[in-house]
Amino acid sequence: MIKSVTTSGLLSQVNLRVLPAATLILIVIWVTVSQVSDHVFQDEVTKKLAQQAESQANFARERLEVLATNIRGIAGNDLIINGLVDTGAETRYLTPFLRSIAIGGFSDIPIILADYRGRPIAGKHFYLWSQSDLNSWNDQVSQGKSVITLHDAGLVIGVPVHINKFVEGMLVVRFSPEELRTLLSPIGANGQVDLISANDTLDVQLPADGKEVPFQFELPLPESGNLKLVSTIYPEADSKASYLQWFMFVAFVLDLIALICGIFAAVFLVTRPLNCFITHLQRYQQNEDMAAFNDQTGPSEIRQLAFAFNRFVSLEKDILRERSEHADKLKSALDREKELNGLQRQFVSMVCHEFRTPLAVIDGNASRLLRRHQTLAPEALEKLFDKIRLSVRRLTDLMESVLSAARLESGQIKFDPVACNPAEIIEEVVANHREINAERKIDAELDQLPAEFSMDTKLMRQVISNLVSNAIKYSPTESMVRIVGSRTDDGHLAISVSDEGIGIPKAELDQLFERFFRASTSTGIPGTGIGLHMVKALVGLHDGYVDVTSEEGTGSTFSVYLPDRSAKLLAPTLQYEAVA
Amino acid sequence: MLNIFRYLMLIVAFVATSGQPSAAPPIVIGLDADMSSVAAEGGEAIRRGAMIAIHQLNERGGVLGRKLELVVRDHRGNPARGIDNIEGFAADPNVVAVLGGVHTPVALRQLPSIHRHGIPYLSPWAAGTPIIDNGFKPNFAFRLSVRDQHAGAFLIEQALKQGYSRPGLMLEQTPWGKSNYRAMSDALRAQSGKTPVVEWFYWGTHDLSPQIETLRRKKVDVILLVANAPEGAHMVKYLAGLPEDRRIPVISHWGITGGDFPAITGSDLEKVQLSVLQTFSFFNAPDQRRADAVLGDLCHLFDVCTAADVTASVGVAHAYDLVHILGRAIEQAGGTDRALVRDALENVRNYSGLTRHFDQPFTPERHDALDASSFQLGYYDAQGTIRPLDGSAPPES
Repeated sequence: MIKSVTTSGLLSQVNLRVLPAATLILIVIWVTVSQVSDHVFQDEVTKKLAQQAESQANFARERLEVLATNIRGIAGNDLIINGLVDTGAETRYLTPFLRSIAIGGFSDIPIILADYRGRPIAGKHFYLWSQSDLNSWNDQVSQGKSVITLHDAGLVIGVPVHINKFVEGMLVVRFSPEELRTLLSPIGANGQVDLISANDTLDVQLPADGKEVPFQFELPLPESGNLKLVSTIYPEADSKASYLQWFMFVAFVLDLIALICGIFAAVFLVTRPLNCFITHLQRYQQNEDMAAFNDQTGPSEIRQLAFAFNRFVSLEKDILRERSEHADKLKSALDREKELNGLQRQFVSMVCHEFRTPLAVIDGNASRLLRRHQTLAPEALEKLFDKIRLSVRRLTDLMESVLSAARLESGQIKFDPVACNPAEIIEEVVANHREINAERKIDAELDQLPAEFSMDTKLMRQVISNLVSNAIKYSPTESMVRIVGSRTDDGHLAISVSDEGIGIPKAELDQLFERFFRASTSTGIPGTGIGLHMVKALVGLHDGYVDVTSEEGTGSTFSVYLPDRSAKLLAPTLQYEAVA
Repeated sequence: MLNIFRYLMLIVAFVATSGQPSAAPPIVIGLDADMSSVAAEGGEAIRRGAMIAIHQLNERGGVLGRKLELVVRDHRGNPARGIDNIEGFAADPNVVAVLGGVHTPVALRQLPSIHRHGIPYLSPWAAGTPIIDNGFKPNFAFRLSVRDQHAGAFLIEQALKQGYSRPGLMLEQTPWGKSNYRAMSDALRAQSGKTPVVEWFYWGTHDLSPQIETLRRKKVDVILLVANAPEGAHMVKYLAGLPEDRRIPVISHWGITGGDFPAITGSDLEKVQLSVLQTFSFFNAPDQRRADAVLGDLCHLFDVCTAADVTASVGVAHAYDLVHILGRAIEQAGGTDRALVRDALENVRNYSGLTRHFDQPFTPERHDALDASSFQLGYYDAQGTIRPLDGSAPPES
């Protein structure tokens, strides 16, 4: 018995079968991807750190350039230029002006305006630099170049001040180490940029945990001559990697949840059509009449299954029907075969019996003749010889019947109709039987018959003979056998043979014309069961039919109806003429 | 006795010079001027005037038998360089005096050095009143040029004379500008009882439009300009870019002539009505014979053969006269002792120079050789040559 599928049951089954494997696969994927991504991530981190360090260094260099540009802009200010030539400018406006300048976001930074030889003219915080430093920077500035150099770990930027086209002064700005670091390091970056001598090495303080070594990128500053920018990035790779690991774990959990949800959804979507399918199967199992399974809705797999199932049911129905038909036919054939075998056995038995009787008559009369031929009177001898001859004729007729039946079965009987006088044919047959059965009364009323009728005279003689023979055989000697010939309204030739014999049970009338069948009332009366079968077959060759009416104990009437074959033959001609 | 002494001295001098004729070092005159920057043309004019005078003096055998020589140092308009140049000249014992350049700020910053070293400073151009009125005693600064005090009065007078009633002052924010501010303000108050409208600008500025527009809003009808060539050119260019009816006439101090003003302004110069202070012109020299002789030397030495070709003729004339006066002072001093020469400069008499005739160019009380009587206005013609303005106003642009 097919059981229905419940959602919870299916869920538990699917989960039991799918979840462990899926979880295992997810874990393997998780671990593999983690390992691979960790390497990839580290490579990417290294690349990114290199880029970040380089970008940070470039950013710092740009800031330095911007700073130098800004300072050059200040140096081009007419107040500064004027300060070089205006006597007393430093006390009247130049110093306040320099004090008001904020560069790089820093106010009150040391700034100094020096003359063409580096001698201070105006500014603030003069104590921060010596004249030798100023002279040194001025050597470069006087050539029109900017100076970017270190001074007491701070940054000094010196730019030329031009009057007309000549360098006539120098503006020097100094940033403290703290200001320098602020200037060079991008806001929010996880690193710093230091400006050091090209020959120096920057000592980087390692993190306490020591997990990640800071990444450094050095960028020489050709314009400064002997300085380089060292960009240091403190990687956050470890934390980012842990973030990645954490994200991957979350992704794993989410995948698992999605898988379970997917299973729930799939089970829910599958259960309904599957249950419907199972119900159909159950009904099919119980041989209930059922409508075709709906193969138009539901998941495609279920639809395909339903379609296949419907097709299977349809095919099976056809097969069962054909098998049933074949079985019926086979059973019928077997029954028929059994019946025929029984009839055949009965026929053989009957034939043996039928042969034995005349043979015994012949044997007994022959023995009497052998023993008493000298003593018997000639009349007695003639009577004995007649009995012997009668038995021989009977044997001959018996053999003829058997042979006719064999020919009929093998289809060797030829149908050869000719026009003849049916009354003459019947009279000829009656005469033969009167001769053989002189004691019997046979009446023939044949005046209603047409003078000419198309029939196979040989076959029709046998038909009439069989019917007359049966009427004589199954009726008392003193009774009358009547033969009537007539013409029906529809043109058939009707020949009926009636007797006043034992009759036939009504229940056996349908089997009466079957081969080897003998009515139950014929017990003890010699016969082969072939005669009526041949009658029906021979009449059938004439496209006619045989009818029988009988009443047990009263008698029977067999009627043969033959169609007028001459009318059939003429019809096409008449039709042709009418058309012409 | 005196004659015997003179003869003895001459013999000694002859023996000394004939024994080592080439051993007598030349008397060096220093020239500290802007030779390459904003007023390079003025510096070159000064150099040429000095060279011609030296040439003429050397042609006559030099001074005290010694050749004169000009040593040039370029201060580029930078006072710091000027001070260093003075220090350099002062360190050279052969340098008897120093000729200055165009820039008043440089001269003013040099004054302490000049007086510390006691080296005569001769200004052929820088017009700042404080250069002479410097407070140093003895005063080693002498000038044969415009004195701003006089120039201011002269320019105000010319403006009023030309019919302008509301002059506006456009001054550079330097001691020279301030010197002119005081002079012009005083003169305007004295001559019309008005207070001038003043706008200041700094060296190196490239945009004078705010100041000019301010002057326009204040209904100024003439601008009195105190500037060097670059800033003056910016103003001319801006004015030239205005519609003709909005352009304001300009009467300029001569600072603009120190540079190649026509070249900087280009065709814009013709669009602006501009007159400029002058003290001398080869076109109307008071002593044409001497002027022609100088032109001859200009042609000989510098290939400048016509009056129209002379750039910054005031620089040529002033330097020329100063060197000749210096030569006389050296002769009067009898040597190159700077203090003696300084003293002698105050006592040179009857010098007929290129600029004018001087009964006594300098006196102990007066170290400015020129006064307003030597002033005149000039204008740039189409070829960029400064010509004397004969009328009361320069030609209409």
